[in-house]
Amino acid sequence: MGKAEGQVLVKAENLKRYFRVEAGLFSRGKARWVHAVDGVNLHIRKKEIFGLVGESGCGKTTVGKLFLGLERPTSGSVYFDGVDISKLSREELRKLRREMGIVYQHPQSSLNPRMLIEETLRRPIEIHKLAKNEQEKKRMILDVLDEVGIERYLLERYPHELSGGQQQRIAIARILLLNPKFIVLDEPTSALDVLVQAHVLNILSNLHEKFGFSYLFISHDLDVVEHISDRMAVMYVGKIVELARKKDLRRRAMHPYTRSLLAAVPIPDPRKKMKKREILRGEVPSAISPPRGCRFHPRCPHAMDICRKKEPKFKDVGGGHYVACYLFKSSR
Amino acid sequence: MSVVEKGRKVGLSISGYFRKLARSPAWTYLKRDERAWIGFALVILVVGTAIFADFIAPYGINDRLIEEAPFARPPGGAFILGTDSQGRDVFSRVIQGTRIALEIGLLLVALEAVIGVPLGLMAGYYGGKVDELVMRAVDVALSFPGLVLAAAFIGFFGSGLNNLIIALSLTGWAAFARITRAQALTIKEQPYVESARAIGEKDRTIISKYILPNGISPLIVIATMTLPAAILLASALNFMGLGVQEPTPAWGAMLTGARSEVLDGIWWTALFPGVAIIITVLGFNFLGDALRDALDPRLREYKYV
Amino acid sequence: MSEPILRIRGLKTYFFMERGTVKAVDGVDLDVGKKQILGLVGETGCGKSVTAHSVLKLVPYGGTIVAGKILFEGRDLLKLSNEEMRKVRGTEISMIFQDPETSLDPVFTLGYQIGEPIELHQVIEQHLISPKEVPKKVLEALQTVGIPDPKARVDSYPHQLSGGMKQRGMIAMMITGTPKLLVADEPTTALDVTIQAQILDLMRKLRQKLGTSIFLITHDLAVVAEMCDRVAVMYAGQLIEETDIIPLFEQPLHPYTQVLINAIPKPGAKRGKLATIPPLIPNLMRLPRGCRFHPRCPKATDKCKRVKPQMIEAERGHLVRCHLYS
Repeated sequence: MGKAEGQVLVKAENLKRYFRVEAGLFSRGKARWVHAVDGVNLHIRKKEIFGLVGESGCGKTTVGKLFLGLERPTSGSVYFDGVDISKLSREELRKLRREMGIVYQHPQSSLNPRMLIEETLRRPIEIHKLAKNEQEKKRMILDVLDEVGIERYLLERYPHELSGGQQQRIAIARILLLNPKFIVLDEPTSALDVLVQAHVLNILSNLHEKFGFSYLFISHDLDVVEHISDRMAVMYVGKIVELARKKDLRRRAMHPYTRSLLAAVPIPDPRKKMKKREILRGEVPSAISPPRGCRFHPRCPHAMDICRKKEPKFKDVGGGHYVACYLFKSSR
Repeated sequence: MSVVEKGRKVGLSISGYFRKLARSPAWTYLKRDERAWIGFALVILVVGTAIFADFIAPYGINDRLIEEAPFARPPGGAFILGTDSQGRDVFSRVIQGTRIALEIGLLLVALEAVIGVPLGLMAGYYGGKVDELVMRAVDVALSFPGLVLAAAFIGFFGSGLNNLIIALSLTGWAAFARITRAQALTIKEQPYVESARAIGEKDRTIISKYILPNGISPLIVIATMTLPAAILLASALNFMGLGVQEPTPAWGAMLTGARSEVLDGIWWTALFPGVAIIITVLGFNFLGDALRDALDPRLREYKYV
Repeated sequence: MSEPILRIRGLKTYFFMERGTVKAVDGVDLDVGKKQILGLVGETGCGKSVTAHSVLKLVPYGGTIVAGKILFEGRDLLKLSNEEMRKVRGTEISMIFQDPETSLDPVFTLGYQIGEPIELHQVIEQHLISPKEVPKKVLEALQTVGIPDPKARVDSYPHQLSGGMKQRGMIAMMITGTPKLLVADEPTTALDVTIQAQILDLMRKLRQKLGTSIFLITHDLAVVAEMCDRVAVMYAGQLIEETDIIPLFEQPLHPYTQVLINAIPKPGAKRGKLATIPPLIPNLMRLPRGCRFHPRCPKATDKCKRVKPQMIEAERGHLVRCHLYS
């Protein structure tokens, strides 16, 4: 399908980010490393919604921060519109910030509790000098409020006086002011009730439709990611194990981890209880000392000898479907 | 236009602050805390006395009012708190002493905060070498016994109000720096700080608009609690004769003079400056305690009627 | 269905606050059958968690059960003394909480924490077993909940365990007395999906093996669909619909339930077109007149604004609180 294969906007090349774990007081020098992100390659096209799914601690949030330059990679590069942002200075990066934005999981902690909503929304305009005068500022603020469906009187409130859904919409409005090209949505609806989640998802979809942003939508909730994304990838212990167009990921899931993830998600249909489905045993391994070979092999029902020794390559199996597993052959 | 603009903005932020205060749960809690009311009443009493000292005190601080021995007269008559061994009115001196005590307390707290808060903010926010440097300085400051260092400083540079304040601030700033750093360390991990970076805020603005305002509560508490401690320390130094000198009516210095007289049955010259110290210290401590509890959301929760 | 094990009748739990009374639970009637898994769903702040805590008389500070009956096997728990109630907890009724991180005591080993209720109830109070048998019982409990290598885990402290393991440990602690009723308050909300699947599976197995009835409180309709036999939907302190699991998903009657089910992003739902209603959270201190849901209801009529609807049996075994069906 040659459908909307637009230009690449953001690209990660062999992206790695390790965090140092402080060893105890008396064991300096023996520092250990958390391999939070360990060799991620992916690109997001213009006007694309890209979903990233994984369980807690798989490194998906770190990928989002690396994409925005909020974390510096240990190695590898992130290209934004052709510019390698991992090589930019702090100040150059700061100026690039109006091109991108991030929405966090917990809306109440992503807004400054001591700032009125009005000032919160005023800041981006002032930092990047987006308005010529006070009237224009006011107009811009009122415009974005309409976009996210927030009433004007809330401008005079503090974040804690708003509901979770309202706070999240203010966080979105703040980013809209910058009119960026790329927005990272890090579990934007995970802390919200289902009705509020539906509302926020609708707003995000409509804004995407209207302004043509690219989204990186990060979540542990497969259904939500599948609902909103064009393409999606599954992450496991710092690596992407499978990447496909969203229709293919459920229908033609290949990687055993993806399949067990799909099997584990409860389905809101009482006639399809999971009794018969296979339940994945064991737990996510530590990212400090990930298993050798394929990282999933200790839990994998299909593990072979080679899986324990050599790490599988991330290969193209055709139709824009990629998987890192020995069970499948490359289409080339 | 621009002047009007500025006025409007300032007005907005100040009225906003009070609106926020009135609506904040801390305020609701504080209103119900009797310690806060007692503390507040005592502080008002002390501050009021300091402001109107000249009107309240019936005599001058150095007026020798008794012409013939015994110069020290017990409380009663024209001298409600008696007179001291030089025939001066104890009441007037205690009242005027309030000014000195508050002056020392306020100046010292201000000086400590001015040094400590910015250093703590930078140490906490930037981390790394800056942090290392500031924290080692804090360690050094805290490892000196404050009173001894202050005594040595005064011994070297001479006594007097200014030197007393500088001497005490040599170690006192460290408490502010440490608390501020701890605040900055936790606040900088908050998503709203990262989201400020994500919209392109400069480090300076992040520190002043995001970190400081959110970390101010414990600083207010520390300031309220440092004030009485400073008054006590200053009294101790004055008592040792290292601070404010005679004939200035500092409470500590008044106690020094009264020390030998107590044995002769002249108790009033020692008692009343002591009571003044206790009232002042107690007032600020009550207020500080109540503020600490009110501003700490964990202590406030579930406090229903 | 045989005689229910738990009958809640007219339960009212209020929080008396400075600014007014929060009617968190305002007249709830509910039955949990023997070996049944009953789900209670609703949004944050609808009162579902307070209902669950009321069953064990563990209402958070500031709240009071002002009226109602909680009949457990015919006995009214609300009439029991604190001491009698304490004996019921952990032996006959147990509770699993949402956050395994804060429910285990960080300074004691897992084995000690599981052993303590056994020692207290079965050794000291009921003289069922000798103290020497306690370690064996602990190991058994750990095996039942499927903790790998239970002998080694007995001596682990909570911080050495993963979230899923802690939740298993919590459950182990709760089933040592083979309770007849397990109250589970959002037991998997803090867990990853693959771990959630394991814990849900474990709860189903417990029901099978020990015949435990489960009162499951959750906001997640998908979990309800996986687990429950019967479901009650709660809104603003009251039940608004109660029925068996399949009719709830296939013929939801109350407009609120209908929106709730259609708001879930299901495969095939069109982007930007999820069902939703005005995101107004009901203020439990100032409830609207008439039906509590009417300000958000897409089907509200004039009657809904004036008259309080009663819970009626619209179809056999299908209760709903809505004027559309009266």
